[in-house]
Amino acid sequence: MDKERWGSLAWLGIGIVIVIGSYKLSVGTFRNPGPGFLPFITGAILAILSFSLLLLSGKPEEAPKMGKPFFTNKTKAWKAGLTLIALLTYSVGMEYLGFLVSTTIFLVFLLGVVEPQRWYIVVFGSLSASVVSYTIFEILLKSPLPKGIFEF
Amino acid sequence: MDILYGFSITLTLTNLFYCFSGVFIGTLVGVLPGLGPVAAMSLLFPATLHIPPVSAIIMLAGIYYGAMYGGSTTSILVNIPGEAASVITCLDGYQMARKGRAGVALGISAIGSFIGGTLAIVALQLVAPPLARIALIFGFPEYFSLMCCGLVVLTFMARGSMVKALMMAVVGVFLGTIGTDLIMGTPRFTFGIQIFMDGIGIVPVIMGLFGISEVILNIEEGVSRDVFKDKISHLLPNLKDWADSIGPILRGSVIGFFLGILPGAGPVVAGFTSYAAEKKLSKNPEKFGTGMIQGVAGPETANNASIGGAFIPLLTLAIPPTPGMALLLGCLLSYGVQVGPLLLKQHADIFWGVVASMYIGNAMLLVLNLPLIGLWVKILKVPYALLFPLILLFCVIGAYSLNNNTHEVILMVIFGFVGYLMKKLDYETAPLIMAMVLSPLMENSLRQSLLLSHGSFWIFFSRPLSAILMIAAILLLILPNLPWLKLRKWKGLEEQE
Repeated sequence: MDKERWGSLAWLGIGIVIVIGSYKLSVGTFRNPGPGFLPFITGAILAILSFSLLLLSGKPEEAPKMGKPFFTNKTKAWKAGLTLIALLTYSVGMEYLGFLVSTTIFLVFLLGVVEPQRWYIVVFGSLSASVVSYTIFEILLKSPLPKGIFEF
Repeated sequence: MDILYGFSITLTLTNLFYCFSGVFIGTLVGVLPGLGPVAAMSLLFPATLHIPPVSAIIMLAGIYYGAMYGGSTTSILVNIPGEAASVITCLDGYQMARKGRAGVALGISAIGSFIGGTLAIVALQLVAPPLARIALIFGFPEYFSLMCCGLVVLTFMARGSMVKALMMAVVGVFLGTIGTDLIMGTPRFTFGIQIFMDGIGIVPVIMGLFGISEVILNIEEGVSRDVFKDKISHLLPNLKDWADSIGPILRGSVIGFFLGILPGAGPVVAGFTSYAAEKKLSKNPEKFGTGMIQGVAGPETANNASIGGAFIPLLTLAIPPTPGMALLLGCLLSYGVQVGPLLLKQHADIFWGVVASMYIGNAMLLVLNLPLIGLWVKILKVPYALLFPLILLFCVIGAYSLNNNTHEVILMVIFGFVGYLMKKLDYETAPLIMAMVLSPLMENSLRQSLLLSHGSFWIFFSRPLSAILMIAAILLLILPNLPWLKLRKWKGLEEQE
C-alpha cells in the first residue's frame, strides 16, 4: 500500500476515535450542545474527508503522486530518525540529569554521531554551547532550567 | 492624532530596543535557511512573558517582517530561499548575482521591502479603525460564519490538495477543543494529563510543526549551500534600475497589501502573484528568470506589504490570516488582551504602538540590511551540520521555559514528528495552526448561536452579514470541485513553481 493510502487510513482511524470519544463526552442536542458537540462534528468530517481521500488515491490520475518514495534520501533517513530519538530521550532525560549534563550529552551525540565533526569541535562545541545557553537562560534571564540529580 | 500616540509608545528606549531586537533576529532567521520566522517567534515567545504586552508584540512582529527582508539575501546569494516567501526571488535575484549585479539585487529588494512595508502600514492605519467599528455590530452568528469563511478561504488558497487542507483545518479545530470545556467544565480528551486541562499550548505545536520538523527534514534531505563568492558592491540602483523597478514596487505594494488580508494567502502567494503580474505586464516576459530587476523588486515588495495587510483581520476581527499572525493572536490572548474590534478602544497602546513600531522597524531594516550584507554572508557560510544542533537546543529551551516542565518539550517533539510526516505526505500545516487558534472562539460562537436560535442552524442564514459569509464559504467549497469550472488553483502561480 502506498503512502497516500496509509495517510488516509491513519486519519480515518483518528476521525473514528474522535467521534467515539466525543460521543462518550455527551454530544448534547442542537438546542443545547454538549462538550462533545464540536469534537464530534470535527471527528465526523475528518472521517468523511479521509475516506474520500482514500477513494481518490485509487484513481489513475493520482498514480504519479503515489509513486513518489517516502524517503528522498534513504542513506540520510537514519540520521533524521536518530535525531528524533535523541531529541525525545533528551526531553525525558533532562529532568533527571539536569540541563548541563543532558545538553552536553545530546550535543556530543549530534555532533559526534549524527553529523560527525572533528573531535575538538565535538567536545568544545558541545561544552561551550551548554555552558553559554545555561549562563544566558538560567543566570542572566533567570529562566529556571531543570537541575536533575546533580543540582545544576 | 492616534499615530502620534503610537510613536510616543514606541519611541521609548525599551521599546526601541525590542523593536531593534525583533528586526535583527528576524533578518537573521530570514537569512538562515531551515529556521523560519514562525518558529523563531514561537521560540522567543516564552522570553517575552515577563515584559509588557506591547513590547512583546513589537518584538515578535519585528521578527515576522524582518524575516521577509532577510529571506531575500539567501535567495539572491545562494539560490536557496531563507524562508518560503522569498522562493520566487531566487529566479531573477540569483541570476542578477551571477551577472555581477548581486549588490543591486540586494539593494532593490531592501528598498522595495521598505516602500512596500511602509505603504502597507499607511493603509493599515487608515483601514483598520473603520473596519473595527463595522466589526462591532458582529454577533455570535456573524463571528462563526466569518471564521468558517476564513478557514474555507484558507483551504481554497492551499497550494496542495484542498481535501487535505480541509482535513488539517478540521484537525486544528479538534486540537483547539482539547482541555476543559468552558461552558460545562468537562475535561475533553485530556487523558488525565494535567497540562492538557488548560488545552494544548499553541507554542509547542508551532515549534514542533515549523521548527523541529524542518530540521529533521533538512537532515534527511541535506542542505547544500554554495555561497556567492564575489565581492558585493554597488548596492544602490542606478536611474535605469529605478525606472524599471518603480512600477513593480508600487504594484507589489497594492498586490501584497490586499493578498495579505486574505486568510492563507500571506507573503508567499503575494510574492508569486506579483511576479506573475510583472511577467504578464512586461514587454520582455521571456527574459524573466534571466536576471530581470522587476522579478526581484515586485515580489520582495509584495511579501513585505502583505504583512501590513495581514494585521488588519488580526487586530480588528481576531482572525489571523497566516500562521505567524496566529502566533501573535495566541500571544496576545496569553497576555490577557481581548483581541477583536474592541482592541482599538481597550488596548489602543498595543494597536498604535505596533503600527508606529512598524514604521520605525522598516526604517531600521533598511539601515540594517544594506551595510550588514557582509555579516549575513559570513553567517550563511556556517555549515548546517553545526547549525541544526543549536536550533534544536533553542527549541528545547524555548518549550521548557513556557511552564518550566518537560511535558511541553515532549509535546513539541511529538508535533515535530507529526509535522515531518505531514510534510512527507503533503499535508499543509498552516490550516491546522490557524484553525487551532480560532477553535475556542469558533466553538463559543457556534454554541451561543445555537442557544440563541433554540437549536436552529437557520440563524447563520437569516442574518444578512452572516448569510453572505456562509454562502461565500459554501460556494468556495463547491465551485472548485465542479468539473466544468476549474476555478481553483492559482494556475499562474503553479506555472511559476
